[in-house]
This record gives sequence, structure tokens and C-alpha cells, in this order.
Amino acid sequence: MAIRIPIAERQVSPTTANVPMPRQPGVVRAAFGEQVYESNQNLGRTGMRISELLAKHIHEREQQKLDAHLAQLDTDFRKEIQGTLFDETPETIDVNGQKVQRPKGILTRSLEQAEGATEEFDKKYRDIRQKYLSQAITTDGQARISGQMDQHYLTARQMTIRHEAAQGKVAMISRQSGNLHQQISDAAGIQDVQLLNVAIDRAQQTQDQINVLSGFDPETSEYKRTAVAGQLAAKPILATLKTTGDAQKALALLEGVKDKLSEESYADLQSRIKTGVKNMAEQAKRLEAEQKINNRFDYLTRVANGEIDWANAEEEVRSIAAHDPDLAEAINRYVRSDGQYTPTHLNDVYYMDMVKSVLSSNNQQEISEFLIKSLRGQGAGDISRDRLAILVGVAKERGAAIYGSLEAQDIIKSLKAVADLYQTSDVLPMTAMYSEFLAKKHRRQASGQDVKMIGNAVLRNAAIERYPAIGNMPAVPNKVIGEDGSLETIYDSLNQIMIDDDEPATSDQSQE
Amino acid sequence: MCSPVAVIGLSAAAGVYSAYNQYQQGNSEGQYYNYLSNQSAQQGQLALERGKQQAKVIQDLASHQIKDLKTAGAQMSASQRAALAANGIDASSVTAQDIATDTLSKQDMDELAIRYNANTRAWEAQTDANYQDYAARAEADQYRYASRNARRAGKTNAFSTLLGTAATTAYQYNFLKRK
Repeated sequence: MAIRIPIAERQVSPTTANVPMPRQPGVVRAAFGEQVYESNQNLGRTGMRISELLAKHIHEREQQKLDAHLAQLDTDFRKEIQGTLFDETPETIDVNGQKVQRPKGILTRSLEQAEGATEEFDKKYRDIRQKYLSQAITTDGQARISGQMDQHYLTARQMTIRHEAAQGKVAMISRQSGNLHQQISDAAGIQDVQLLNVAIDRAQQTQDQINVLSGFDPETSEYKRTAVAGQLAAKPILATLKTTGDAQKALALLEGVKDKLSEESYADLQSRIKTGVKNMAEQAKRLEAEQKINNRFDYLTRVANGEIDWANAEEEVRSIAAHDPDLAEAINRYVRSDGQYTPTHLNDVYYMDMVKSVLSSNNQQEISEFLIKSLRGQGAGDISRDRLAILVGVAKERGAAIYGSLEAQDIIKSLKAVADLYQTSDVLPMTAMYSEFLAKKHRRQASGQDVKMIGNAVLRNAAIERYPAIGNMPAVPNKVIGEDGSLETIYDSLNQIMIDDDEPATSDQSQE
Repeated sequence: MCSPVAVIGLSAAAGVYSAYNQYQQGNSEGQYYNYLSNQSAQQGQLALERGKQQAKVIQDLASHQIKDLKTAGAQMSASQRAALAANGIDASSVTAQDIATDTLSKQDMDELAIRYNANTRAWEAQTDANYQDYAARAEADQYRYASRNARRAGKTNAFSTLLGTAATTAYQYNFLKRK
């Protein structure tokens, strides 16, 4: 039998060490400064943005400065071009050795002076352009300003071309018109029908050229041709009538060119010839009447001045009678009365009436009639020489006043004031006043304001003599009680009487 | 329409408000990363503690196992001696001695194996804890850096915004002044 003994067995066997794997720590991305660098990047970007803004700002400022500079240049340029075109200041230039004046502005020159305007403008523009281009600083500025200048230049050049063309045309028309006017003017001396026809043909040819230059339509051109014929024909026809007084000759000229005239022109010239003849007749009558009046004044002046040789006056009176029987008759009576004057009350009244009639008359003929009546006396007695002299003097001043002499009108006012101051019975002092006034005026050879002053002084003396209180009156208008108890306006200076006299100047010029 | 001054004022106010919030965002992110950093550091400490505890538990278990082993070995020796005795083999005989020596030797070998295995597993636990601690501390460090970076980025962003706002406002002012 086998022995059984338990044998110990190994219970535990050694195990191999399981070496732990080192653990990888988690990665925190933010620990590595990404955010910081990102923010730094932002800071950098901000810096860049600021620098961009600054650069932009500086650029804008520079641009603004450039814009302002260019705007100023553009304004100056335009002003200079404006001056070149429209300056009206005159300048003197040398044309073939002759000094000629013309306006500086190209577009202000007219007619022949406008010739070559475009060429001159081009030349001036080149200089002006270069001047402003050199001031434009930058290339960009030069490009901009040159564009603007050229644009303006083109417009201005168009104007200059149009102006030169228009003025050239006007100059040609003006020359032709001047020539036509000269032809018409020269035609005044023509008295031959054939020559007149030739002159009309030539004038119509000139008018044809004007018509073409003016661009008139055929209808207008034909009207102008006929009108020129009428104008030219009128000159010699009316001149012939005026110089020769021969209406038949004038009518013969008119008939000789009848075919060249329009019906209206022909009828008009016929009418003017008739009117001319009538006017000439009236003119002759008027001249005759004026001559008659002048003769009356002359003779009466001579009577008044004692220049008539009464002893041998009959022959002269007969000669006067041939032209002016009334005057001759009046003088003849004077011859008989020997010029002596015996004052009577009746004569004074008559004389004053004559003076006032002359002063208030508006007609030369009528004035001369009053003088004749005075000379005749009309049964009221004879007029003395001194009174006649005064009356003639008054009549002359009145005549001058009628023809518009302001000085004479002032004198008449003075004389009327004197006449109004006196009653008809005071003819002596009034005559003395007139004598004094006319004598002073003549002696001093006074005119204008001096006449007024003399008139005033004389009038004042007369007024003081009539109303002594006036001498003590203040220099303002005043009311005083006159001798007859009525209220009167008195001035210490009778100048005001004359100046304030609102009576309108009497003149029958318009009637004539 | 708003007046130019109102537009400029609105732009400046918006810029300042934005900068302030960028600054606050940086602060907030910094605090967040600080929190994570502290968490990681604590995690490392816990891992170390856990490793120590685990190593201790392993060694205690090995001690119990050794005791059990020794008890089982004594029982085996007693059984062998009884069997030898029953078979009439003297306990002092060579055979008996050889059997006893063999049993003791095997018990020693098992004990050594238990000790060796316990040490090995304790080392494994501690090493793993150390590794965890290292990783957690590394992460904590990263979070700390992240916190600092977040604050710095917040400040820089706010500064950028303020600078940009000032420049834009100045430009707008100049632009509107020119108009």
C-alpha cells in the first residue's frame, strides 16, 4: 500500500507590475495667450484705422485746399476772360502808323474794329491758359483746371466768332448804307432827269447789296428798292423847288422818274410839291409882313430919336407910302405937326391906353398898329418924341417877349407892374419911370438878372413914392391899408412882385 | 433728424459702453478660469489622497492574505506530520524533513509573492495618483494663465475700443464741422 502524504502547492504566483500610463493634462487653449494676441491685433487694427482716418482727413483737407485753390483760379480765369471780352476801357493801337482808339474788350468792339477778334482771342487765351495752368500746383489740379478753362474757352470762342461775323456783316451793311445815304444826299444837286434816273439805278444797286447782306426776303427787298428810289428822287425834286421856286421844273423831274417810284412815293412827292409851293407863298407873305413891321419900328424909332429930317421928309414919306400907306399917313401928320407935344388930360388917357394895349398885345402886327395909332393921335392930340420913344421901346420888348425872350418877358412884367401901380392920371410919373428903366437898361447894357434888378429898383422907388410906408416895411409880404382904405399886399422888395407874378408868358409863337 | 452733435454724442457713448463691457468680459472670463484652476488643483490633491488610501488598502489586504497563507501552511504541515506519523515515518527522518522544508519553502514563496503583488499594486495606485495630480496641477496652471490672459485681453480690447471711438468721434466732428 502506498503511503499518501499531502504535498504543499504554491498558492500565489507573483504578478507583473502594470505600469500606469502617465496622464496627459487637458489643454486649456486660452492659457496660451491667443485672446491676448487677438486683442493686441485689434489694437493694432484700431491703430491702423486711426492712421487711415488721419490719412483720409489729411487727404480731404488737401483736397479741400486744392478745390478752393482751383475754384479761385477758375474765378480769376473767368474774370480775366470776362475782361478780355467785355472791358470797355479804351486802348490805343498802332494801325499802319496811325494811332487808333478802340475798347479793350473784344466783344465790345464793333464794325471794322471787330475784325480779327477770334484770332486775337485765341492768342490771348493761350497766354491766359498758360498763366493759370502754371499756378495749378499739382498735376491733378492742372488736369482739372485745364478742362474747365478749355470748356469756358470753347463757349467764349463761339461767342467771339459769332460777334466777329455779325459785326463784319453789320460793318459791310453800314458801309453800303453810308454810301447809299451819301448818294441820296449828293442827288440834291441833280436837276436833269437822265442823271436822276442813273442816280436812282445806282442807289438801287447799292440797296440790292444791302438786301443780300441783310438777308431780306424778295418782297421786302423789292419794297426797299422802291423806297430808296422815292427817297433819292425826293432830294433833287424838293431841292429844286426850294432853290428855284419852280414847281414845274420839280414836277418835270418827278414825271421823269415816275416809273421807278411806287404809287405812294409818287403821290407823296406830288403832294409835297404842292405843299411846298403853298408854304413858299405863305412864307413870302409872312416875310413881307415882317419886313413891314420892322420898317415901321425903324421909322418910328427914327422919329422918336429925332433922326428924321423933317424939312426934306416928304420924298421919304412918299417912298414909305408905296409899301405902308398907314405909316406914311401917320408920319405925314407928324411932319406937319413938327413933333411938338402939348400935354392934355385926354392925351394922357389915350397914351396910357396905348401903353397898356401894347403891353397886353400878343401880335406883332397889332403892336405896330398901336404905334401907328399913337402917332396919328386919332384926335387926342400929338404924341411927344420922348413918349413915342418909350412906346417904341415898350413895343420892341413886347415883340421880343412874344418871340420867347425870357429877358424881355421879365421886362414886360416890370413894365406891367409899373402900369398897374399908377392911375391913368399919373402918366407923368409913369412915363418918367419907363424912361428911367429903359435908360438904365440901355446905359448899363444890362441883361438877364441885371434887368430884373434894375426893374426892381425902379419899381421900388416908384412904389415908395406912391406909398411911402413901403420904405419901412419888413422883408416879408405884408398887408397894409391903402389910401382908399382897401387892403393891399405890400412887399419891401418889389423883386417878389415880379418873381411871384404867375402870369403866364404871353407868346403867339405857337399861333404863328 | 438728429442734430450732428447728438450723432457724435451717441457714437461716443456707444463706444465707451462697449469698452466698459469688454473690460468686464475680460474680468468675468478671468474669474471663470480662476475657478477652473482651483478645481484642478483640488482634483490633484484628491487624486494623491486616493492613491495613498488605495496603497494602504492593498497592503492591509496582503497582510490578511499572508496570515491566511500561514494558517493554511501550518495546517498543511500538521496534516503532513499526521500522515507521516500514521505511516510510521519518523518526523525526524530525512523524508519528513524534506517534506517539511518543501512545504515551508512554498509557503515562503507564496508570502513573498503576496507581498510582491501588494507592493506592485500599491505602487501602481500611487503612481497613477501622482500622474493625476500632475495633470490636474498642469491644468490648474493653464487655467491660471488663461485667467490672466482673459483679463489682459479684456483690458486691451476696451482700450482699443476707446481709442477707436475717440478717433471716429474726432473724425465725425471734423467731417460735420466742415459741412
